[in-house]
Amino acid sequence: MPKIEPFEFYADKYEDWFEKHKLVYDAELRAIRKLLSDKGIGLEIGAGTARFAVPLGIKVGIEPSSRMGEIARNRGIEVVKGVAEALPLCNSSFDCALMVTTICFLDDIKAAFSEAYRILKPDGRLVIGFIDKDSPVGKLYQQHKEDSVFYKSANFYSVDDLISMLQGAGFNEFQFSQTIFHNLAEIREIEQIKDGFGEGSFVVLKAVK
Amino acid sequence: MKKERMDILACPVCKGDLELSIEAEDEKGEIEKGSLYCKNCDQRYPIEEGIPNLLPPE
Repeated sequence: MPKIEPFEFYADKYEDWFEKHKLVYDAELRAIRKLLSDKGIGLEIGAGTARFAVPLGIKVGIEPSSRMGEIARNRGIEVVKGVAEALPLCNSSFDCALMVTTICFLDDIKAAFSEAYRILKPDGRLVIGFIDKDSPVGKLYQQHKEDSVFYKSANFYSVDDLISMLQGAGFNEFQFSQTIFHNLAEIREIEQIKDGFGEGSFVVLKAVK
Repeated sequence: MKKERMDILACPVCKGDLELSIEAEDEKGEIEKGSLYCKNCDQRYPIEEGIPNLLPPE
């Protein structure tokens, strides 16, 4: 089973994070928007409380945690309780699939990428937002893993790790955007969004089926 | 859950079609309670409080 327990018990704590880190949340949304097209039907895999799906115009979310799913439904998206590794969805049914800070909580990331590939239409896009393992924030999260109810059981990945697994699943044509150029506690102003990766701690990767 | 979502939902295990049974609808005609049945796997998945539970059986 996926690592849903902390999300069942600490949904309020999860929600608080977004209130306390408004500038980080805003930068992450802008970095995703840069690579996410609003054409066609979109899906969020690991929708959480729909903090990303709603502002990004995504109507359907897959979420394994009941508590998070209820909040997401109340925010106005259609929630299906399910896991990324065994998506309860038909082949070639979506134009875009989004995963934000989801990959670190998966049991089997390769299975999840194969499933995302299966449910996307030809030329469909998978957009992944994540904390780069090799970035300053990524390193800090790994050092203090044990202190966080959420990250205790998380697995962190580098951009190279992801590209190799995504290619294995059949994806290509990779594009990147990045943001979060300071430690989270030091962010007092709007963070920039840049193309590429290697500088920002939050990376958005777009891959095409 | 909206009825038209049946177009995209599939069994999480075999990816086959699901049969919908409705027990209760809300005022907008959305399914509040019911189930989704996979004939191939002989597995029934509940719909509760408008959310279909399509977690794969353990």
